[in-house]
Amino acid sequence: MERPLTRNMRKGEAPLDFAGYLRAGGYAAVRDTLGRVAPADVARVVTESGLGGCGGGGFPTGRKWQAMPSRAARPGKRYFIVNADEMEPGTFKDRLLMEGDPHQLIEGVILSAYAIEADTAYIFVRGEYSAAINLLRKAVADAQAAGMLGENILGSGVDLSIHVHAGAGRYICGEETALLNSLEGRRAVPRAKPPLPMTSGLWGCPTIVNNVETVCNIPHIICHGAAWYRALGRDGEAGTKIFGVSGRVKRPGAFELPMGMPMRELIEEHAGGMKDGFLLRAALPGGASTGFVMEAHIDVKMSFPAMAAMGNRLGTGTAIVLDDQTCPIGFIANLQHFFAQESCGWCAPCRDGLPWVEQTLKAIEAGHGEPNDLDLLSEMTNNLAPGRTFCALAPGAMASLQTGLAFFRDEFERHIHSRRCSWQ
Amino acid sequence: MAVNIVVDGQVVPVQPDTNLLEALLTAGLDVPYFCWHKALGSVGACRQCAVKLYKGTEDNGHIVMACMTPVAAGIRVTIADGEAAAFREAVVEAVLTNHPHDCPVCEVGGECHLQDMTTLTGHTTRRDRFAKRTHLNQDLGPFIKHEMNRCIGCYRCVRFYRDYAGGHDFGTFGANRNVYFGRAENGALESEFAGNLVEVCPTGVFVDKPFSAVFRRKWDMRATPSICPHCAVGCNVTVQERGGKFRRVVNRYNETLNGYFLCDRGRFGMGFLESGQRLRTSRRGGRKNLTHGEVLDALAAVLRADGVIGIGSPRASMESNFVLRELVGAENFHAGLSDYEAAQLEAAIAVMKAVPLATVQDAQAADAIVLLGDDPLVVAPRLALALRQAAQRPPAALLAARGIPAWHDGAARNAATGQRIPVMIVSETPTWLDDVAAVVLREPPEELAVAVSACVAGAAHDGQAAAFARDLLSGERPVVVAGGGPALLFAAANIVLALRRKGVAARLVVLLPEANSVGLGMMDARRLPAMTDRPVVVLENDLSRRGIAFAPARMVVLDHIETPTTEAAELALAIGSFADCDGTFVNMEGRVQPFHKAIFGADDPPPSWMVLRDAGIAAGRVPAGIWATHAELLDAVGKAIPAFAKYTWPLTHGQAPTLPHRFSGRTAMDARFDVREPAPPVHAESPLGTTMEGWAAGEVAPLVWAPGWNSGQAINKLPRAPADVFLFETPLQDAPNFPIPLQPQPPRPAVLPEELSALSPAMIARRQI
Repeated sequence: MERPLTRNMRKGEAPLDFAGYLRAGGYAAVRDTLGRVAPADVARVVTESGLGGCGGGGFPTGRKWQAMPSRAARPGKRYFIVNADEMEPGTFKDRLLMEGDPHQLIEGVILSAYAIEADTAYIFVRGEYSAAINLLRKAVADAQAAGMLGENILGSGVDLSIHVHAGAGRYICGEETALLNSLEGRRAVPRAKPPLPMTSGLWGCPTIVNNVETVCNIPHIICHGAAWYRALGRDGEAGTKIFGVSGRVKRPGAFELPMGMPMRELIEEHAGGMKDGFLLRAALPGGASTGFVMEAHIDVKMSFPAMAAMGNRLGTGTAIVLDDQTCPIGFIANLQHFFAQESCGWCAPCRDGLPWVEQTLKAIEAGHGEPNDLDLLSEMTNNLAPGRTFCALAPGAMASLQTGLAFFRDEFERHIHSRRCSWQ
Repeated sequence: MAVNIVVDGQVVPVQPDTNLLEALLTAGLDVPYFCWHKALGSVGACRQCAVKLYKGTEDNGHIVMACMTPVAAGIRVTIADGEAAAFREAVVEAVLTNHPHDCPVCEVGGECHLQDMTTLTGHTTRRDRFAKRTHLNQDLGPFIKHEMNRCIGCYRCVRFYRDYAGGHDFGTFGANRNVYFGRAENGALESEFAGNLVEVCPTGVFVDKPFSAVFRRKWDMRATPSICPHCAVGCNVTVQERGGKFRRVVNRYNETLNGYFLCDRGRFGMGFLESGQRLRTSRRGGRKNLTHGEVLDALAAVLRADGVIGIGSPRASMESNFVLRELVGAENFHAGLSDYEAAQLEAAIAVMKAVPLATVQDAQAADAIVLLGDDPLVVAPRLALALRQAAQRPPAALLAARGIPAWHDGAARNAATGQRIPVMIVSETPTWLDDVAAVVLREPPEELAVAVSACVAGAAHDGQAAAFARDLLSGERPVVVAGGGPALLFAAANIVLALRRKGVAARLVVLLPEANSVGLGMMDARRLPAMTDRPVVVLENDLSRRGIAFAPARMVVLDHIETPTTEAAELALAIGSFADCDGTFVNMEGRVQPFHKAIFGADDPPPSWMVLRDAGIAAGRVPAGIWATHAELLDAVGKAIPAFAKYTWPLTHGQAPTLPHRFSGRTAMDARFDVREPAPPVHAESPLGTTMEGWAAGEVAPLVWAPGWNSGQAINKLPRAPADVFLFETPLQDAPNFPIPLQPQPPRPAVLPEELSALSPAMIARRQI
């Protein structure tokens, strides 16, 4: 099985430096593409590859690029931005990619920026990822020294500068328009859409924001073609994906696997199954903003459409496992604490609704629940639905609560009636 | 052209190019909102204005925020829909989880937008049982009281303070429900427009501090439409009082003038009304508390003298200046200005008669600005705020190209990053608008102004003047703002005339210092002689302040404040301030505006024109019975000054009530002295009555109030006010260029803080920081 994204990673070894990456065939796509292939053709190949946004949206990357106004229609500055603000609870795939093979990301940025004809790129990295920040800064400097960045890259006439920006530590910066505000030095609150960043983004200029993993796929798609990439996936899905599992499994971690593999295989084979003495109860398929998949349903495919078909989201593809010895209400309350704290404070229902949700869940968990609390929580999942709040943060927060209220109704009721948590 | 939309099954005509919220409100429909403000645009933060929008006829509809939804012909929406209504109620319920239940002790209770919106959504019962978040308040200085626990996070304050008014020392801190609006540390707010926080806040986070000290409920105060007397912009205000005591002033919306905002000088300068420096009683030498009869006798005795000199004032009303002039004769009527001020005013009037003038809102709509000389923030603060809006307005063509509506505030600002209309400033000292200007030249402006007008006319020139001319010529509505001596005003006027000859609809703003500078300028007053041995009557004017060394042997001064001039007077006569009587000011746009008696105390001094008239009759200077009514007096002014003739006193069919419909305590407030029903004060001849009774024909609206809308936001529910009268509406056709005086101009006196507001305790406290 091919593992293009992690092919250069060896357990216990430092990532490849510039020379090593070059020896491993890296930057070949840059050499073959810049000035030789029309930018529009690069975007077309990416569209044909079926690559979808790996930050959690799954929107076709090539189509996003193609929706950007042409250079003729919008002369002037345009930007390519890598969203490396990985703060989704339970998610550590971008960290692996940046720490494991930083030049792969740089190469992806060069090709992506070329495709959208941007001469400036930013990598917005979560501030706590200091190892990744240092590695990326070194990778940029080394690539620049080798003529792979800067003016007239490899004589192609193409310019690109990459800036590695360390975020200041807010979850909302992972929302692409909040990221743009933060990058501009403003408060990290989302912007109203439309207009989309591709027409009015960083400092009002056309801007594309892509996730780290998405960008890391680009060199391989360019090198090997769309058909090769599509064939990597399983059951009609395209490419590989970094999946992950955390929780009480035998081998928690991240794994590069074909897109579309069943969740059961991910948990039972690659993560080694549950630790002895623990039973799988449910899992969040892709971070804290996705809903529960109950044990009975874990044959579902790990893919954007399959998860959407069951009313859930694949999210980041890094699953969090709920075992039978952890209180689901405590589990959900903990998630809601995170979201209430990370609400940017811009829109009222999220800012003031999430703390209410958190306090209610904590009261239930502490044995102070009241019979009407479940109606209230249920109402909240409705009030914090997509389109009602300003951005996707609160709807994401409601995914675990909404599915939790459906699947663990009896646990909620027992907490309220017995006025205690049976796990404590 | 209005388009039709369907709202809850009814066809409603609305304006295109607006958002759905504004359209629904304008159509008289009730939709709750917090973060939206007509002047600040839409940002979609509060999620309160949810309505259901349908796509096509088969669609089940989806919830949208009305403020973020463009109006389009034929769209179908419902406000009443149960799902939308439930969501609106849920949003209010959520914000109230952190809002204290302190309405009974909150200054905003009863005129609170949050209360109104809560009622509108139908939310009544608290379900939240957890602790509310709390904040520490800050000391924001003598103007604004801070009560952060009340904050509902609508972001209007920062959007006004930073984005609109260009302030830097106030902002948003923290995140999530701990989001905090204040300063980095305790300290007085630095913006000259901080007082507007009181009115943009939908609840009681920012409270008018001087008002808080003499607080009464909105419904328990008399409200009177008036004109701010603190500069020549003449912003429309509402003065509120109770029990003869001034309480506060709030903005009174005027679409083409101040809109929604006042400056701090206007709002907090009104404290002068309660200052210890007020001249409350009349005196002759050491004899104080003269009776009205004694005042008239003494003044009549002076007026009988041959060749008595009258000195008018740019802060006295049209009426008072006119009556004094009529009593002493035009040849003996002097402006009471320093040589510099007199030369400036004479030049200004000449220019205003010949050149199309910009209103404040014209200036706000300008697409190119040349600012010459004085800093508008100092001379005409509200105009400066308007100019800032013009300077930072995203270019319309750019927004159209990107498909971004102008009301979409965040997107419009972002799209226009780094793109501004050309603003060019030539001033010897820094101005408040330097940061939004494309070009700032620190030099005397006269020479450049002359060169610009030549370049506009086609003269070859390299350098800045040519660049200025190019920017002005490429504008559709350029505005030239000039503040300075005659040479500058004439040169600025010539720029506008040259642009007009090229078919560019340019307009001019002439910066003048005082509330009725223009009115005085229309009086054809003489300049002051160096000295005189004739008796002198000084009207509401502190000559010493203007650096006028003028010490007549006999001097009578009529004023409502104590000044070095009243102290030097043989006879100091107490007359009413702008809040104690009716009168008329003409502002620097040439706009004629009435003010009305707003405060009804026990021994209110009469207006100066009435004292002068009665003494003049007693002295035999004018026939008995002359100017018997205010309307008659204005007729006489119109006959003497033809430009004024089109203005008539706004008499309605009956008098409008000035006490709100819920005014309470009328019979109880003085019960410790007298339990009988007090007789209402009589204020005939005014369009405004003195009681709760009466009926206004619609010309004057003392109160901003609509059913269910108790806060100032009720303005969105009210019909538009009638148009104002302008003195200089028809500029002379084909006016020739003004010759630029070459002789040296009078030296400019030092600029002092505005005279009346300087007496306000809050302003004094602010200046001492």
